[in-house]
Amino acid sequence: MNLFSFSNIEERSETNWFSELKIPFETAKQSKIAQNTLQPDPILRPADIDVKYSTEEEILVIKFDAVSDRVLRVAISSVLESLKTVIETIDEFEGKFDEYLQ
Amino acid sequence: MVSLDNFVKPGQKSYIAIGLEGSANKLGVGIIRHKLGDLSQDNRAEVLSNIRDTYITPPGEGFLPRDTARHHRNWVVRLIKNSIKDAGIKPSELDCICFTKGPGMGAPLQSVVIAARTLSQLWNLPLIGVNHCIGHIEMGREITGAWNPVVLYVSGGNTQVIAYSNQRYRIFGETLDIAIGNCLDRFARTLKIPNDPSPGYNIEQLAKKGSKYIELPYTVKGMDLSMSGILAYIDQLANDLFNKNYSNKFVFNKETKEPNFTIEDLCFSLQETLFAMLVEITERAMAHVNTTQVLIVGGVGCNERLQKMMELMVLDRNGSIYATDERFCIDNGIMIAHAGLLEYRMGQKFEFKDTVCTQKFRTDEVLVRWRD
Repeated sequence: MNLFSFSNIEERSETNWFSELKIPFETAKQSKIAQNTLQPDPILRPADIDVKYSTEEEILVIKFDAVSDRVLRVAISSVLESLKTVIETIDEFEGKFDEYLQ
Repeated sequence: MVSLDNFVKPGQKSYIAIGLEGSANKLGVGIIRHKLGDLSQDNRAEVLSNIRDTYITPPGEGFLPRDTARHHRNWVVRLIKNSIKDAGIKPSELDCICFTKGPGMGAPLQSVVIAARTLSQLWNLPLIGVNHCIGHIEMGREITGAWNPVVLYVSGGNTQVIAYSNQRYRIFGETLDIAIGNCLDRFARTLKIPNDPSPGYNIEQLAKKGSKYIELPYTVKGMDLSMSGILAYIDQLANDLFNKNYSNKFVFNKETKEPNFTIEDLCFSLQETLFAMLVEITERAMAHVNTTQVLIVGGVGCNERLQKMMELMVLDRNGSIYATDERFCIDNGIMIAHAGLLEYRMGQKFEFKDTVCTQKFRTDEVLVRWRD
């Protein structure tokens, strides 16, 4: 079983801070949905941070490349907040397309 | 004549859309049904559900983007679920998912579109991004039956006089600084009156008890308005009144040190001044576009004093006034569903990359394909 993990915040140079999140979902479809949902929105000022989303089967991988540790933390917490909504939506509605909701 | 049914699926008899609205402190979800054919008095849109949850701050405090976004994230899934249950439909009966693309506060808008995008993929339904102002206008027209009105759109974030011409809702006049609702909300904060159910409503109730008119700056600039100066001026009067600043002879009687007016008088005067300015530019817009219909939409539009003042002017011109109640005036999901469904019926499509919300999105940027 995969667990949520993230690499320690790494200071590669004074203006390059890096971290990687790995979020396991139940299925590859779910991780793809999360990727497509999060991907379009720009985070903060694009010049300050680069966010790359990818999936490895059911795992969503998010790589952050930021100009400072502060920007990196703000970006990670913003993505996690959005991710909570994605997961709650999937939990509540997946597979209930053709039935009356209870 | 525009046909709304060029993209109908074989065997389909009606369209159903869900709308998600969260551009300010209200989170709204609504579900609407259109039957085939043009909308008319005999073929009205049907509201299947329309629910809302408002983020209310303590007296004296406004709502901040971060906290409002958190409120929306906490509620959006529950509201969507309740809305679909209320409507008594299966998700598979939906044709599209509509959301507010802008204008509004960035973080709250974004928190709602996240749910919309996820749902769109789970259920394989198209997404439709809606301009918030267009939502207000189209819902107002649908509910009241006003065919081609001058639209006064007054809310916490917007103040515009709008008329339709050549597939655009064109802005004839607007505020040059703050919106009228913002002006009222901020004065309510100065007075420390409750934000429940809304600051504007509470000012309206206080104003009913006011009787003395205090002259305030009157700032109509051609077809546009300015309200920040009025707010600064009346804030000062209220502060002097609260702090018992007896040196202000306008506020306090020189000999008796009795105040010359009350908080209620201030609320009354603020409303009278602001609304008179709105009536003036609306009247001029009616003359410009040669119509006698006026439609009031937006949260401030449920103020009965504003409706009354506008009615007096409109009746003088042998016209008719159209306004809706709080279900449709105040931000709601149903208007987003309605305007989005009109876009959907005209074949409008949104790729995911086009679903990024924008804080600035002017009313006249939208091509109104569904009208002649």
